[in-house]
Amino acid sequence: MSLKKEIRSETRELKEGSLLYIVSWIRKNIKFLLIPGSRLKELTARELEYEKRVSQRKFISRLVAPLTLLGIFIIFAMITLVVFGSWIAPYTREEALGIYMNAWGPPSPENLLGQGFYGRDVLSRLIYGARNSIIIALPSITLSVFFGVILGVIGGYYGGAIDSFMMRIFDIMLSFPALVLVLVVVAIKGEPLIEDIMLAYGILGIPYYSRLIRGQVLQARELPYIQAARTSGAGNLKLMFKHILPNSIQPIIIAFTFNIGGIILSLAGLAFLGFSDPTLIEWGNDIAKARLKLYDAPWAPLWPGFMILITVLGFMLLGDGLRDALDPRMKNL
Amino acid sequence: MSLVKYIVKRIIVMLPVLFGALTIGFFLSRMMPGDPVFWYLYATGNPHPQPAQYASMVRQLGLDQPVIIQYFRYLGELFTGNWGISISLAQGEPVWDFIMQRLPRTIDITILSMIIASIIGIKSGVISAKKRNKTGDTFIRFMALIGVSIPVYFLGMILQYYVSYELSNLTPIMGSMLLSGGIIAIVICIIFMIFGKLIDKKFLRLTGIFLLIIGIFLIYASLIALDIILHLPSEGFKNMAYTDPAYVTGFRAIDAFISGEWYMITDYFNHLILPVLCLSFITIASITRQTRSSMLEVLEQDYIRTARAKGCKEKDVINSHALKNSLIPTVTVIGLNFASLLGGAVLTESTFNLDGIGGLLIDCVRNVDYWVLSALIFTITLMFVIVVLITDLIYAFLDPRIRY
Repeated sequence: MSLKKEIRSETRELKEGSLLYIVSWIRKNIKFLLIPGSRLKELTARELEYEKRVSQRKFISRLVAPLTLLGIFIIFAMITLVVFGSWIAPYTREEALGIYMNAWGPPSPENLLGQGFYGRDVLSRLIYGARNSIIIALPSITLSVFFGVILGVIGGYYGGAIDSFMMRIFDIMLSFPALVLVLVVVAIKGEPLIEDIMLAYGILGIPYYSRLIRGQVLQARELPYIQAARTSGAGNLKLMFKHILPNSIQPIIIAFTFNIGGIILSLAGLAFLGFSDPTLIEWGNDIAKARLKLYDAPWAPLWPGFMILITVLGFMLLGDGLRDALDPRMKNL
Repeated sequence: MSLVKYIVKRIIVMLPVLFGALTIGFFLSRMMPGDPVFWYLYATGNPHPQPAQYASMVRQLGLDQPVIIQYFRYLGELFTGNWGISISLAQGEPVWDFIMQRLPRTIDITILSMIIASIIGIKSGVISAKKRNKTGDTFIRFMALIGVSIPVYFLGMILQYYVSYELSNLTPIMGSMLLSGGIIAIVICIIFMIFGKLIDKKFLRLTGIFLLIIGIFLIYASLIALDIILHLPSEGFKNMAYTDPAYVTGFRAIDAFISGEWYMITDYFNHLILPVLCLSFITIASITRQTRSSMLEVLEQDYIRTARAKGCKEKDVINSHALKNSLIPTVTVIGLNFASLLGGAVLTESTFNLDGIGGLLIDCVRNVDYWVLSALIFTITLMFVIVVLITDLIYAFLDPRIRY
């Protein structure tokens, strides 16, 4: 009893609700946030605290590999560009969308990375482009994770006709060339709107997550603790989303990190082919406009391409590090 | 016999997928805005058609019917082997003739880059798993991650600018300097290799290999600058001066070989170097990652310990015990990559201006070519499904426990 009080008082040293408290809580519980199922309730408070500390230390020590740190650094740099873009960029957003005389000018003190289409400053457009290029990836991937996980859990849990019907549909969706579908959807809408592209990619991503979590659910369904929960009277919904889902979500987290990079890449590729909203300041758009000027003004298409590479690399490095840290097979190494 | 049964069973399962692809392709292509008939008349020398002419053309193509009737008519025509004609891209040419012109080029690039990627990818994946968490492993993993995350058009543009364009601009004086630099690099490399072997320092040998690569590249650049060999072309499939070889199989290299025009073969492969380099770099990355992770899994197994304990050489343990067992996921990845490249490496083809399946796809969407688009979607799905089937069959050769 006294021990519990002690622990509670430790956490109460910082004022509840303050920023520092939240940060320290996240730091303490990072592993349990990522793997909600790993909370061990039946242990005593002291053991729990010890286990938490050990596993947290193991998790963080596995996460702190040089490549992962590089990835986290890149992502933070990109977030800085997204949030504080207008403070960092040498020109304002209106100036980056203006029309000037000397198009495709070489790098100079005024334009550090040269000038692109309509004489717009390449550096400013790189910085403003970060916001659109990164943020348009998020809605589509959220859509596909949300529906993919729900459908996958339902299919894997109930099995039978629902499951096989869904899997047939997903088979068709997976073997259907994704790029074609997106191209045609964009062409049908006439004016390429970024929302349509995001929606198309979001729907096309559903089968991937669904199959991923279905396999996990099929394994978890037969475990003894599920039987125990069922005997103690848990309903289907509670079983699916409280007991099974937290224990099988881990591969989804890893795939999510990888696929943010993948979606950024695909959207930029689509913009490169000319199927994107031309009014957006976006890296893929910039490349599409400047690619024919590659030999006269190499800075105009190459820098946005480099930015895409760096951003995607950041997410991929983080995903790789997370997989190494979360993979239960690697625990004994 | 059971294998044949299995294949037949799989083909029966494939049919609904293919039918679904056909249906979706048909309706999607009909939903696109745009008027291919106008472009047809425009290209056949009638830029300002009379309304009557236009209506008769629409009737002739059968586009005046409701879409659902068009769909059943299309399905009926398929049984007679008539896949329709290309309307706006190649006026009036049958769809398959048109696709068959483009398909061999895509197949050439795909096969070449997949061969290179499989060999290098599996090899580097094995090396990376063997030296887990050491410098070599970190380097290979980092390179593989770059390969996964690089936009293919960015890589293509870098190659076009720095390898094709800059090298073609070198003067002969620069060329002779590069040549001497390359020779010096290779001499130092040989010295390093010999010393590395003598005093058994791995670092020296690695530096030697690195210098060898630099030396070969410098000598290659100098040969281009001295006008001894042609510079790498940045786009397209053939020099403008050369005509196509006589049509036999559709594959340019084979046609040129048969018709005895040897210079066309070298020209053709010269044009393929950069795109193949580009595609194989990206494919190498995914193959390496998959090989590494499955190798790591297999190396933990008990039979590997047994093999080591009974005194197998480490080389044999890796190459015959571990590698063969870890190849199944790798084969899956190779198959999927192969299928997606066959379905048109759209971005690579549009970067290097190659008229393959991918370029055709983009043209179809831009010009609203109904029947070509439906047939293309069907073809791509068909190739995907067939490649998946073949991969499943290869599993049985790799793992005798799998029986069909």
